[in-house]
Amino acid sequence: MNITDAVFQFFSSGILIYSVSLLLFYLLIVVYSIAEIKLYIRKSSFTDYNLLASSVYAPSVSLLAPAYNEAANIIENVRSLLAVHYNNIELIVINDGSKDDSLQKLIEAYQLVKVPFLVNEKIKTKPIRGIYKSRNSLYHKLIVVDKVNGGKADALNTGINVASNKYLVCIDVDCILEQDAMLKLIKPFLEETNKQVIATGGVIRIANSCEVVNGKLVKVHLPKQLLPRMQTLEYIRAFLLGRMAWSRMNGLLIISGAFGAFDREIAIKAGGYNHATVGEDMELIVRMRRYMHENKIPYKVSFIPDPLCWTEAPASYKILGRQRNRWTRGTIETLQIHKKMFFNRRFGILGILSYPYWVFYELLAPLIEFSGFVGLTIFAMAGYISWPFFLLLLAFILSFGFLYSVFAILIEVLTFNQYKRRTDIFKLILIAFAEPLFFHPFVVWSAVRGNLDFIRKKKSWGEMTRQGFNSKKK
Amino acid sequence: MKILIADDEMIMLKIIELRLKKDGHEVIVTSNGQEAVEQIKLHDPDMIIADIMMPFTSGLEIVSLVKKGSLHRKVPIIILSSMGQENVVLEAFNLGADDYITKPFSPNELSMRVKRLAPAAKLLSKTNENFS
Amino acid sequence: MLTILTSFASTINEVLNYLLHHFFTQQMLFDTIIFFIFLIVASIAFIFLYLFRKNKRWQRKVYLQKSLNSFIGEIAICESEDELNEIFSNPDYQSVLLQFQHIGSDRNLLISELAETSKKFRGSTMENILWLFEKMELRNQLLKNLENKKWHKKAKAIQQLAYLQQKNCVDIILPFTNHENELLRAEAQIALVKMTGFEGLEFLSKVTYPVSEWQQLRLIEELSSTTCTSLGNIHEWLQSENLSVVNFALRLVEIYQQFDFYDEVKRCLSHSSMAVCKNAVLTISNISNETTADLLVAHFAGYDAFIQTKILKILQSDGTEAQLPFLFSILNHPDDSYKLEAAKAILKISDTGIVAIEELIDRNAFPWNVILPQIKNVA
Repeated sequence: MNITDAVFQFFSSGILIYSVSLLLFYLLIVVYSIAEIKLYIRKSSFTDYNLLASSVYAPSVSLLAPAYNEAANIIENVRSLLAVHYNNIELIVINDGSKDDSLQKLIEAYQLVKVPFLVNEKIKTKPIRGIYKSRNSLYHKLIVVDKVNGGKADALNTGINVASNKYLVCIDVDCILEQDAMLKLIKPFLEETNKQVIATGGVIRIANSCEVVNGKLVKVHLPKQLLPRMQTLEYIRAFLLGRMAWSRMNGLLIISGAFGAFDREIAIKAGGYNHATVGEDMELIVRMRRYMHENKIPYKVSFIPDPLCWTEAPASYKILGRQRNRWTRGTIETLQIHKKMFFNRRFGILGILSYPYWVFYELLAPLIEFSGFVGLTIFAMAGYISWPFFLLLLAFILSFGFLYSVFAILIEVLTFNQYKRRTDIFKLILIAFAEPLFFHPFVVWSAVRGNLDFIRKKKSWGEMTRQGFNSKKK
Repeated sequence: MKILIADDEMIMLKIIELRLKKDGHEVIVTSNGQEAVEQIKLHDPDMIIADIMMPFTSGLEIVSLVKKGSLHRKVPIIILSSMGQENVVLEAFNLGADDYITKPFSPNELSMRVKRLAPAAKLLSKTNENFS
Repeated sequence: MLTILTSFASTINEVLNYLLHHFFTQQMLFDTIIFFIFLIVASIAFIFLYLFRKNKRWQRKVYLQKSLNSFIGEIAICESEDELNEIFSNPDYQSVLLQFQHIGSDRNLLISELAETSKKFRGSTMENILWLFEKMELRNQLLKNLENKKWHKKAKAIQQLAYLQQKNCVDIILPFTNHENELLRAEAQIALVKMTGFEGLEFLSKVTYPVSEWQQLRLIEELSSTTCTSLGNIHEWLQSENLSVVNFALRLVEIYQQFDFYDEVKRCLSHSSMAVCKNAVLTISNISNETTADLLVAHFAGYDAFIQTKILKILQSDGTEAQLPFLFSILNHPDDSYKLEAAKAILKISDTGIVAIEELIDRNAFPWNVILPQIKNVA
């Protein structure tokens, strides 16, 4: 047996074994997530969320919204956040040293005036230039923090310092919230009796082409543009199937930075957001979980399958590429910081299952996919594997991908059914088939680039240009 | 009297409609905020009874539109809502609502309150006529 | 060494070889692909079939609801028993009702509509709905639902029994208040309180499972629509081994201003659980008397940061000159928020307080250069 044959054998079988194990994992995820969603929906039907909105005993919440160069929409965004359906709340908008006139616009629109305000710097941040409150009692819930630019993590940490309530909700300033979003996000903190809930997260949906009136989502439409449409399907898969399953096992490693709630005290004890990584949302969750393990406190991270928050998705390949590149670097950085947990029994499910899964099937997946595809193509061209075999392999992986997507759509239809029109569902199914052509390879390539950039140690956030929500259906 | 009711629950609309009809009023039924606004423009009711939580336009926005805004009419408005929190009630009155009833409620009580506001409605409708 | 490595490598090779030729054969791949395609087609078909059926079911439900709505509506506004009987015996309505009597799921829809309607109205309307419920002999169906194996059907039945004020079923529901299924337990507890008000809280004496914060919120909300009658058992609940019961009892004392229990609440200030202490502090500040402020100061040192900050805030409204020495000592606390709250309290209690503070500290140094303007701003 010569070495070249052995290498090919090893390579081909390796790809196969990887694919099959991934397949099995996905199957497991599907089973777990269905059970969990069903339970959630049943429980939900017995819940009157308005109770939490009006009760004086509902816990106090600080809503943190960092903003950088958002002058175009900042006033509207703040207005929709101020209208959030929850009584006991304070809204803290953190102006992270914007270069535009965001602050000035806010001061004028909300009649703000600088006030002396003691900030207990529990987490070290860049200096605060001033704290503003409104003279108008209508806006008494609003606090605006103006600080020296330090990045999203730094801005959020400043918000944590300024906040005085028990729970923090971190939100991207341009997110549109569902009517009951806050209530649903906070409820898990009150439901658990023998464990402490340290963080909760919800489903993020894509708002492109949806109708938004007065900061409220009025009508849901499937995005008209191709890329956002592809991402809609992707999000459905990731949130409804992936995260739900991990949540059931209490192995959830990530809560979306766009909308998530945290126990303030634990976040501070864990050290706040890490500004040395671009994946600060995931890194904080991992660190908070690690803190609870190391201090042997029983805890839970909850995930709510309800669509809570709608956000704008990148519509051009360029911006999408930057986003995915950033996500990849964030994942690598987080996993690297916490590599102690790898197969470490001390960290329970996190160490034994979640962390290794993320390394092998989230981090390495694009790399293996890329090298696998390139490698096998070369082998086929060089004649080491037959073309039929190569095509069959490809067809195997593709068909499983289609199956998984169609299944995700099925689950979506059976549960929350956000896209009520049959034509929309049909379009989603078509997207599932178009994905391997227009979307998936690009995402894999961006992830590979992310790895390369990480190695080259690129650390910026990149810029994401604002498009505005509305492309009302004509 | 011509009374317009706006609520997104069918059974609520039905019971209020039947109760008011029994009292001899003419009733216009709408099931969401947008429809309510259209019907107000079309039919010029003598009184409006509206829920707060409705699709498209909330009851409070309707109060605002009718008392000070684009639908400007001198018409008494009764808010009928399950939200009993003080801040909501105060906001409703601030915007100009003439009465506020919390659900669950008694239709007989509603009937009484409508009767109570009836003289005002008649007076105001005469004022509206004088202006138009 | 090299031989071990090469033999290891060749065994792996053999395994992979075997897999590749017996397992991952072309034929197997092909079969699996066909299987996947079959599943894909089946799933897509299922999706559209499901959507179609759902639409049909929804349309039927709307149709049924419409015909039911008129009937229930007329019944709802009847003002006498004669009127009720008149509407009921109306042949048009009778034929509609006949439809419902036969199909189990339709009967459940009927029960559901009646329960939902009863929930939304008060007074004679509710009584009429209950009359209809009795007349149509639907209680048996509801009790049958209660025996369903699935917990969510049981829970729904309990909920509906409560909406329809079936007080004669209290004994049947009582055992569920300590059921191991959390939701069943919760619905049963709420149902009892809905139907029998404060007497429904008797389950607190026996419940062994914790009552979650959420559930406590629901109970408080439910109680707020009834008048406070008997809170005699609070004495027992405040000493319960079930900590959530103690916490709930403390809340009740606070909301209903039960000054009689001051001493028991005082005892809770030294409870072993911080959560209980926290609630005790909140409660006692709401039923306070002249000894309360000193009491809180006395217990201060044994509490965690959250409770300590809370006490400082309470002293801002309930503090007296007697607490001034304590408050001045806090001005040296390492945590700046403590300094802030203590300073606020001093300001509220004493007119000369601010002068005394300024003598003690350097008003130009951090944090006092921020604290002083801040508390003067608010005051």
